[in-house]
Amino acid sequence: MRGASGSVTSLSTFVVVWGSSPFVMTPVKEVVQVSEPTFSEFMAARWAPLYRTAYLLAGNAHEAEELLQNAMVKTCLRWDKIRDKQAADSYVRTTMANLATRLWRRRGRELPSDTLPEDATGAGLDVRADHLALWEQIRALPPRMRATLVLRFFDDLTVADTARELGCSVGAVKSQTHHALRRLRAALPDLEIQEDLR
Amino acid sequence: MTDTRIRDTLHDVADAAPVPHLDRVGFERRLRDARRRRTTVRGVVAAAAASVLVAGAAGGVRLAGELRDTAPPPASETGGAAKATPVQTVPVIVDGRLLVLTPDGAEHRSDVRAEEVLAMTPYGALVANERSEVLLVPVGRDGRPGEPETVLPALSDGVTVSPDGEEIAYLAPRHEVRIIRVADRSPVTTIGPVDMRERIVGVDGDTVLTMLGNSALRLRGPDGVRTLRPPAGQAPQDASLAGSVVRSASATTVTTFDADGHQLATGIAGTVSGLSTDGRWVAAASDGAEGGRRGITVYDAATGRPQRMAGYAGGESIDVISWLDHDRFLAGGLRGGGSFLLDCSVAQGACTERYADPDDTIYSPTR
Repeated sequence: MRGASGSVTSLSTFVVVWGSSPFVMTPVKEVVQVSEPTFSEFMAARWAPLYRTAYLLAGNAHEAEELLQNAMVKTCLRWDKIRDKQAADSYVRTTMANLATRLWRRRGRELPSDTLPEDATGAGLDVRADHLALWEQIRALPPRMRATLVLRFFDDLTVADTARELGCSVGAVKSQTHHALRRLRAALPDLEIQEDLR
Repeated sequence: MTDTRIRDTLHDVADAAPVPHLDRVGFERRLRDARRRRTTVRGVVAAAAASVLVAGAAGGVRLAGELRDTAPPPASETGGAAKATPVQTVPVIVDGRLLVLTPDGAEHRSDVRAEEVLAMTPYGALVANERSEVLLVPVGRDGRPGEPETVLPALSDGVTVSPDGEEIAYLAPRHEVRIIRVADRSPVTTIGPVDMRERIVGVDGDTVLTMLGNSALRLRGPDGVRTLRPPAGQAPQDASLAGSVVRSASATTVTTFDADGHQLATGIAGTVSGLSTDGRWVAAASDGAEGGRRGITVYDAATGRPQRMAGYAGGESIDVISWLDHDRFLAGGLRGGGSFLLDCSVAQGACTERYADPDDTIYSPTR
């Protein structure tokens, strides 16, 4: 059951499975009292899936781990104030997107160059050649634009949810998506990419 | 073809990227550093405010709390122990050492190693070092720090300073709470032994406020012990004591109590709150999610009557509320990737943005 609303009934008859996704609830025969996860439990269960988002936001392994560690620290500091622990993923993703943007600014708004560092291109990754070519272009997008694509197309968020997590308007998400796709089309004219603005 | 290609690419890349093991040791180190920086940034942000405030303060504005007017009291009040400390200086920790900032923008570095600034008192800066010793560092009128004096020896637990900076409470061996005067380290009183689960969260005069786990508060003074129980579902996460008023803050609401343990005001909405130094007002910030109105509201601590503060509509998270005196307080928070600071006055019923740091560079103590 994805995106369960968490009514009293559902909370008393479903147990949250943290290892897979915070939104997945598995029915059990006996009534189980669901207790709020501790931050340590949350971090252990969600490290791997959130790392993948971090990798896509950062573009390389080293910065991805930095990004996620720092976002986890910020989440830990505010854990008591995160009312819906099931939505803590959202808080981490928002923090990572903001941190990635800030890191980019502090570097002096580096413009993507034609020659990307070898380890950052994903050259060592076992992925299809056409995917690798597209990934290199996605990596070269500005961080907010890249974050928009990652949240929408990797984390499967709607336009509205993406806007909420990035702290911008729905129109801004649509605009960022549009411009990102236009850049990708320009860089890879052989690709046919159409927009799906749900 | 739709955006499926992008979706497939992102999943392909993400699945191919090896996930590193969770480095818990590294995480703990970052967490400790972050907590230390939060302490530092509060002081630095306050210093920025001090510069602004003092610059416009003809004749001198009295700023209590972190920016307290630290002119020494008459010697007769302190047994001659008063130190000459300047007005509106702010001690912060940078790179593990004490740094004193003055309103004119000067910085005075000290060789005193410290991990945390506990308070600015009329007698100087109270700091804790890596051995949990509490030191009093006198600060000259020009902002220059002097030689530190040991106030509490090593491994002092639960150290808390009163709102006026006159007393300090700590947990002594055998679980006794001791209160001493900052001025001359003379004893005020010894309380206890207290429950092992109690930790000190406030002191004012000869009375201490302790938190018992996350269920109740205890007010311990010359009249005995009073247990304060907030309403159901509002377990205290934070509390303070000033002017015979107790503030008990849960994650979303605030309850106040008088010195006899009677509830004064309940259901004050706020995820971050603070009690004025005279105990008259509670400032609370709410993001609106729990039914409270977004923004900052000041409540009469005795009646709960709200007074809306103009100048801040909400929208950004407020992380810190720090009262300067009975009228003014600072509210600091995060906006986007940076920090901002509001200067609020109850008398004026308004907050004014005094400081903004859009790139959050202030979080780096080495800058």
